[in-house]
Amino acid sequence: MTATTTDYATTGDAHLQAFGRLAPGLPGRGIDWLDTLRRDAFQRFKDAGMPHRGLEAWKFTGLNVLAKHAFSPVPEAEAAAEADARSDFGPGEHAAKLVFVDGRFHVGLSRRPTLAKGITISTLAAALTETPGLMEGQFSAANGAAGALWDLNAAFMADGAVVRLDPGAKLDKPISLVFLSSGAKHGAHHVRNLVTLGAGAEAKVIETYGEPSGARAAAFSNAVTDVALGEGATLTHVRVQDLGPSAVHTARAVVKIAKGAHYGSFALAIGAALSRQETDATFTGPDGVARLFGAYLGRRRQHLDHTTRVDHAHPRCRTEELFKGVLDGRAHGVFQGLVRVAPKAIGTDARQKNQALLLSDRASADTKPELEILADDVKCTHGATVSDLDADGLFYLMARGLSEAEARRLLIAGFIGDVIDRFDHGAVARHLTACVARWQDRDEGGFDD
Amino acid sequence: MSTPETIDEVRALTEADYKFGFVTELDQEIIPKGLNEDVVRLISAKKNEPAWMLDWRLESYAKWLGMQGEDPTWAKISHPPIDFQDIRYYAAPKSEDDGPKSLDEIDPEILATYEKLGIPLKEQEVLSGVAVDAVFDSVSVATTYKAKLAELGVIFCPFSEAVAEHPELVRKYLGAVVPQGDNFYACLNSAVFSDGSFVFIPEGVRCPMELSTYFRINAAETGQFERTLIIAAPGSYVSYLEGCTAPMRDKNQLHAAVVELIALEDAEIKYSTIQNWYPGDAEGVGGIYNFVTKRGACRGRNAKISWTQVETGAAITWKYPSVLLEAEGAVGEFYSVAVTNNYQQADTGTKMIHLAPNTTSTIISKGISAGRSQNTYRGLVRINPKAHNARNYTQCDSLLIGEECGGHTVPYIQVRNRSARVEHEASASKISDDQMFYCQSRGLGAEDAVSLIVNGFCKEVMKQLPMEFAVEAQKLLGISLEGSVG
Amino acid sequence: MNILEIRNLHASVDGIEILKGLDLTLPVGEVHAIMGPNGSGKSTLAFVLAGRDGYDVTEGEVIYRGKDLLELGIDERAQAGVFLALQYPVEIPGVANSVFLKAAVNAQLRARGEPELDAMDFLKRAKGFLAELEMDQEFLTRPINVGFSGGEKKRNEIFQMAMIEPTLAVLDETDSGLDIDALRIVADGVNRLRAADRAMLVITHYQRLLEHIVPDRVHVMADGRIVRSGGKELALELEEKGYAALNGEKSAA
Repeated sequence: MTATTTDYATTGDAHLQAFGRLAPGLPGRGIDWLDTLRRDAFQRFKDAGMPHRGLEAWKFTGLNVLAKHAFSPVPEAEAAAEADARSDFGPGEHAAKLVFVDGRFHVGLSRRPTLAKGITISTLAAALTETPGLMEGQFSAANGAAGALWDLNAAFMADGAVVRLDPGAKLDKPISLVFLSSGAKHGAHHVRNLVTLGAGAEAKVIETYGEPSGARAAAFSNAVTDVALGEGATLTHVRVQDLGPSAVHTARAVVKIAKGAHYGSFALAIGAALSRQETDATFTGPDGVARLFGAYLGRRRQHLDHTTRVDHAHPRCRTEELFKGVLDGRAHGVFQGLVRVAPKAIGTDARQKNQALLLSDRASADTKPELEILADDVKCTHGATVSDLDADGLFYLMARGLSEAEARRLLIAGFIGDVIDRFDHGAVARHLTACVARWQDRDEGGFDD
Repeated sequence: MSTPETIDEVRALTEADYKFGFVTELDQEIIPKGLNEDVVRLISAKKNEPAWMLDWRLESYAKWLGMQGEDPTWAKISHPPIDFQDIRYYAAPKSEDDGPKSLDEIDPEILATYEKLGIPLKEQEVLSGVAVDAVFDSVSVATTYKAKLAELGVIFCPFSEAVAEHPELVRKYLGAVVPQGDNFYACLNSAVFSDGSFVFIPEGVRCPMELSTYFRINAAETGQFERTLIIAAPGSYVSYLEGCTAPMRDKNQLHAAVVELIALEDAEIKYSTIQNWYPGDAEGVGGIYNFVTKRGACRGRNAKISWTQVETGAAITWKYPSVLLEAEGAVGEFYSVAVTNNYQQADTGTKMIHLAPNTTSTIISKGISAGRSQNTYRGLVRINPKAHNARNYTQCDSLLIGEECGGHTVPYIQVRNRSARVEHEASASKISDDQMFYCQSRGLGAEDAVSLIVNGFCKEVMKQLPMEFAVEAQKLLGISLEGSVG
Repeated sequence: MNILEIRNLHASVDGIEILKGLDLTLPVGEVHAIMGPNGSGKSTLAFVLAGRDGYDVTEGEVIYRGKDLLELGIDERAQAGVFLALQYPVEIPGVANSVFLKAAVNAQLRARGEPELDAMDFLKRAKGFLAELEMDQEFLTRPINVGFSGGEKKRNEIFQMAMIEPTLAVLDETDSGLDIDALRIVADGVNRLRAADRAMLVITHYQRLLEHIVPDRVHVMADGRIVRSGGKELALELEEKGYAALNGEKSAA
């Protein structure tokens, strides 16, 4: 695999240069609304440039690494066709599995059995060719400079998963979406997933971002997942970021929650040099529920950011948020959570909590739990704590004969296990627990920078 | 009874919307509107300042010129751009030139003003043991209790007097906590500040009385830029109170003050503010822009700085009384009540910067918004790498009254040391129907019920205030929220 | 003379009719008990009398000392001498009991044109009642009902009633959640307040409270109406036969 060209000073420049060259080959070329959407997004990106710390939303996360190296969009021809791919990413048990390598669908690694009527699982490239009419209006768009990466995704999105459940359709086993970065050095890929649930539909989607063992790809993956839930629909949406130690990952879920719908999300970050997972949820009707959970475990110089925004625009919606972080080495954890309650969104009930453990002298944590409330009949709380591992707990376990290492491991597993436990009790929880255990098993030396 | 009165006190005061809204007819000496180097020189000359002071002002002015366009925009407030050439930067009662030597020499009308404000200086001097430094527009007009304080070596005087008589202290500490170019408004203040209070508490002295300053803006279209500097030498203690009022005017007026506190080893400074600037009328016309920089430095081991503020006035409040915890064992506290009604906007909070081991900070903030007002808590807790075993506890609660107001909480927590323990809790809610019903079913009217519940909501902060101020603060809460319930 | 006359009272909550033509007469100096199964509308009656929002009177009238009670606001009723001891007293953080109660007592005194209590008189009275109710002095400084046990909350209601000296006291399930000692204390407190110029309406589910507060008359409520009235022996009969026996039975109140 040859490295993509690095003539350009920065990732931003590389993308500005590449658009004219790559745009004709991107899927859906010639569809007017899509061409316009890409062009507008590109223009906004061109005007705003990469997000920087001067923007309030990016105060705690700098993207210097994208300025240091020019990550360039990987052309289709260069996407690894035969990735030496580990196939064990994602949950073992699933209804279907779609694997994307360097942002392009990989038939060979995927498994798409025939599913029940009313359930469509496809790819973005295919859907834009086969049913372009169904795709119009499904793509979220950024507004403001803070969303420049979102625009970048819209301009360059090359593939992704399309999951659609008709009203009433239900799928018990999770749909596994796996996104692998091959060894392409300083490659950039922008996947766009669409998850659409009709009224009363129920599904579980697990996204996993990883890279083949030994790939050590210094890749930049910038994903967007657009979620639209119909009335009373229920989605469990898990995102596991388990990339290699040089990867840069930014991801955003843009979620619309209709009347009485239920969105449950778990964002887990255990890999990458720098990762930022954003969740942007809006209630589009009353009585909806958003449960946003997450965990971040970092060591070495990892920078792990979870940013959430929930817009309560309708009455009687409920938000429950809990994010926990474990930071070792020189890792830096960030949590930003904004709950916004619009006028007239009476009966809003929003609880938000962030807890971070600092395990080493050089680990650090930033947290900003924010409430913006414009209605009076509301119940909103948030809380945040940052501390070391509980010394009493450590003592107690060691007094019962555990070694310090065992005791620490147990306490950390329990600390994170608590978030998982509040989120799910079934196969999803088991999968998340296994991911956390994998992080704990990982020798520090195996994850160097 | 140990618990202070609430409803009765409020009821006694319900006759006036803004009780301090009178204008004193005084012969005032004012200079033309606008700001340039000559104005800075003129202000300095009016005050017979030494050259070093003028140089410091000019340096600040130059810095400020370089900061144009850098007026802070991150706060959740909005106002039309301020025309800094449309402001008068100096106004003094004319009789000031002669320099009053005692209360007897003070313009009787000024004294009458204080009577109306409920601060009869003489009476306070005799009865309450509060030493008062009253700043009227821009100039200190009276400092009571001077002799008694002098015996202990306590210096409590107008800032201009300190420049003349204690230049070594002023030169050493002025700008030591809030540098000239710290922010746009602090920089402006550094160039044009007119007067304020200066306090020095010598080593080991526990100041036996509350020191108090009343600030009042009287002249129209005049900015007030007072500057307060308090230094507590090792082992000393002082409790300082400040009250603020301004008459009703239909134009916005700028108040850009700077307060610097320095607490040395084992010293403690308790700084309380009751801010009741004119908030503008019910339609949002007029009112004071209260853009204030307040910061204290705990510069010696186990030093303690405690801010308490009750903010009920001003059209816009932008202020973050902060503490730099620079030495081991230092303690920082921030207790705040901010009430906004009608079209008021408040963006207030604190910064607790932990720089040394075993430092602790506590933040208790209560925001109450009513009418169409916007009320934001904005706070930073930062634990630096060297601040081992630092502790912070933060609690900020918002109470919303009516469906057109906003209550916001924007905390920033930055932890760079594993041994730190930082806890933040916040809540937002309205006064529950159950609570209102309960109070009303015991015979309280709706406004009294709101006042009672709000005072309860703020209790943790109010109890930090010295008693005589707590009563005034409770009344203010009730008055500020008048008309907020149907 | 009657303190309270309720005629054909209909009231709804959220559009659902709870009181369906209730009649009740309470003469001065008497204590009446209202008993009935859960859901019969007892608490609704209490809230309608106190004037709580959300309890809509759709028909009928309530005459209190010869005047239309329903015209008055919540606080005006309280000032006119109507007191409701709540089944679930509300917590108000930060407001000391004493501050609250002094404000309430004086609001009522003022409304009646009587001189207000000063702090000393207030405290003297308060401490006297506290002793009678076997309540600790620190009750005064604690915030209203915050962190109180169920029994303390109920005692606090009776304490407030004692301080306020109402003309008409409505006690809504004051016995619920009380152990036998607390019940005796509360009942003693109530009995002490019985007076020739005062009337009380004691709402309860169980007969045991009425062993301690012996009523002049007992009314049985079912499905939003008074279905039987009688002397104190009626309570015993109910205890024996249960409310189920009343089903279908109707008699004039």
